[in-house]
Amino acid sequence: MILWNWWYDPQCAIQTSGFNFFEDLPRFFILLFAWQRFTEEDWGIVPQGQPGRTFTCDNDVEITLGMGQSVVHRPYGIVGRGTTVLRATSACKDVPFVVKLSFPEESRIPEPEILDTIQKRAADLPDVTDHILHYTATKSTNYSTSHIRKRLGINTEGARKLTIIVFEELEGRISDLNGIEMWHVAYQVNKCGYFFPVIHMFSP
Amino acid sequence: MMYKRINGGIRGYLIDFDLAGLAGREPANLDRTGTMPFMALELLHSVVRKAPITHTYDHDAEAVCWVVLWLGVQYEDGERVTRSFREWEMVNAKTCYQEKRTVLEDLHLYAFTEANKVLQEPIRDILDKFDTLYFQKRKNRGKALDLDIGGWMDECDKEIRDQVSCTSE
Repeated sequence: MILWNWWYDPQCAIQTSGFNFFEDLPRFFILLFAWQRFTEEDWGIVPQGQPGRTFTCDNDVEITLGMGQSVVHRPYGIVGRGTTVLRATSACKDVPFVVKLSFPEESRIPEPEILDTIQKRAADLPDVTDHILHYTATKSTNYSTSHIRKRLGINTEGARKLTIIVFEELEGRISDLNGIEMWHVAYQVNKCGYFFPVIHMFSP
Repeated sequence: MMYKRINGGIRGYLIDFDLAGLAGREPANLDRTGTMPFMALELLHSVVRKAPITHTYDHDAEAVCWVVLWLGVQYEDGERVTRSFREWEMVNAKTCYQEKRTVLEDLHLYAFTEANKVLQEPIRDILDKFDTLYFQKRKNRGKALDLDIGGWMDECDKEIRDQVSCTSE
């Protein structure tokens, strides 16, 4: 009766060595007691990603996630950025919002920093600022896949950090458009890329 | 790319900057340079040769034109009516590169569908320009040329707008 323990997160899976829980019952109980004391976050659940939850962002904006049919985008697997986009509302402004939760690699420049840089460097270029959606709020978290790996003394290379960003919701994707409208949108977006100091890893 | 209708007009938005880099800290990598069928020829070639180059705006502008060609020739009112470019989609970078080169040699053979006719000439013209630019880059050993790609895009957009206002009259 050997028990192996697996931990999955957006970075990769970690497996413990096995132990016989008949021969080593106390260890097994300690493990169960530890699990019993796990909070949602300990299990890897992101509270700000649960339907109907309300949370306060770093700039004091309060956001409430929608119920039921509120998923705009969900990830395909466990490993990777795992971008999830959920519809939300806020008492501060009567427009639909979306919350983007993702696990970008820590080594990357955070998305809010990129957006801030664009706002700053392109302040007098409406061709740019009119076509870059600025975020309404961010919510900092300290969830990182490096924590458990540091504790276990294993390689933290490629660690991912939970990032939460709130945007106003847009109407749709360019792929929903046809003909001349499609061209206008493609042209505007593409042209703004000409001015701003960002190299976008572009996928049309 | 997303959109929102504002005061009767339509406004395009670029989203998802989580894989973006900032100028001055350019990475030259081989992965995630775009959706293969639409990648600029120079980038595609760098993937074939496994020789990384820096991804710049002219690659993105060219990619948009490939997308418009792909849509304009194959689609009519949101329905795919022909499959002229299917070879681009399911193959490796090398075949994709060769297929697109072949298309570029004979652009006039690929007629846009009726609904997209206004895009035909402007897109042919601009793809021709990108082809010439790529030729010059190879002659200059990849050294960046100081060109007004944004100006090209403006011209292309103006041509399309002119034609739209003609046809709607």
